[in-house]
Amino acid sequence: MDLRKLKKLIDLVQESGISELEVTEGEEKVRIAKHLAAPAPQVSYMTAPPAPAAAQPAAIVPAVDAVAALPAGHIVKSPMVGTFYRSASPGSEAFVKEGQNVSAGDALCLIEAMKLMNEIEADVAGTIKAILVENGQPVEYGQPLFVIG
Amino acid sequence: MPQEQTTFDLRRVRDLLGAQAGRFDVDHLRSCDSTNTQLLTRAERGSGAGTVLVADKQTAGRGRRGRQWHSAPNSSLTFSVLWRFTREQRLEGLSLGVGIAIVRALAGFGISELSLKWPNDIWLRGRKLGGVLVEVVHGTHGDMATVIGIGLNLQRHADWDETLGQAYAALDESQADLTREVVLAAILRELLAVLDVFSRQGFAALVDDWMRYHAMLGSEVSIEQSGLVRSGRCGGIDALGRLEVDTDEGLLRIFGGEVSLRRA
Repeated sequence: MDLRKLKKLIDLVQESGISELEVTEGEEKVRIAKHLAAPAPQVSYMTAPPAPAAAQPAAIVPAVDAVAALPAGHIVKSPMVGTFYRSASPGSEAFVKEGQNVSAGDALCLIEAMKLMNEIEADVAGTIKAILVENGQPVEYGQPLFVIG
Repeated sequence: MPQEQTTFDLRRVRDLLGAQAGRFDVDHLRSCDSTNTQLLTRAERGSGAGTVLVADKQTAGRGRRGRQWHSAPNSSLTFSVLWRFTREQRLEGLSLGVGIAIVRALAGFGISELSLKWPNDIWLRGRKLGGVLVEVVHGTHGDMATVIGIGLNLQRHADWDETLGQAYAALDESQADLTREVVLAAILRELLAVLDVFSRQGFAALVDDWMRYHAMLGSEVSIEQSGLVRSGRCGGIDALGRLEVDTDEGLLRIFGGEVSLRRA
């Protein structure tokens, strides 16, 4: 499902009285829920539900929570489970700040899991409209990290 | 002062790789900042999967999140391997898979008492023999370039004994005559097999192999995450390589932080 379509669906939920919408298209499933997500409790860091087997890349896009809070733009999602870091090493400067212009290929953050450091790059050029995760917080596969507008 | 011998025989590595020699392009540097850093740069310039860089000396060898990695010519084998995956590939567990390849290669030399300390430290007789650090950059060609950095202690080293004490292990405790070329070629061959399975079936297909070398299974462990310490009994790993620990709060699946054996 492309992002334009996803955006349309999000707008639909946002403008309607419904609180949740689930759409299945082929193997892809999208659930859009309208509520303000509470910050992930620390416990979920470690008690996250088992993810689908790695052999089958998840075709399910996780629920897009707190859609109302998201500015419009391109959403950069986490390609893996891990810890979100805004800088390359503790104490060094953040890769990006809100309001900053980025080019495609610029580093945005680091996701670490099990001594694998995954540098996430901007896949489009634009302005960082929102940074959706705090430094050092756990993220799930497919979780929105940045909005680039 | 004895002359430091720092030659590295690339031809010998090619011979040892045999039929797999064509899958790798091995290069050697006497000194560099870090083989991972060098290969990440080469990856961005388009170097292909199977590019390998060995260094006698790293001036800024890195561990996790900027920690230092100690190495010295001949006393250690430090190298990095560039591998490319499709964008769709789930990478969780890759670093654990690399650990399996290393242990298999070393077991092939008749070395026993090898184990894997989650996530990917290589242990010999319960002490650290080597480590793995995987770094990923998203290439502009629609793929993901991963740089797999491996450091292995070959010989005990007087300087390390001073700074690290007995906390590390070296291969010469078990086998004195293993050269860097022989060890490198053996690891590359096993790595090829592991990466092949990982690409096609994901880490789930490697879980049983990893469990065979699981150093802490059933042990009481401490888990330190962001300053918070918990304890529990160490279980297995899941299909993403996360460690399962049974605690008072329930079963935790851990993908970060430090896990250590609780000393009685």
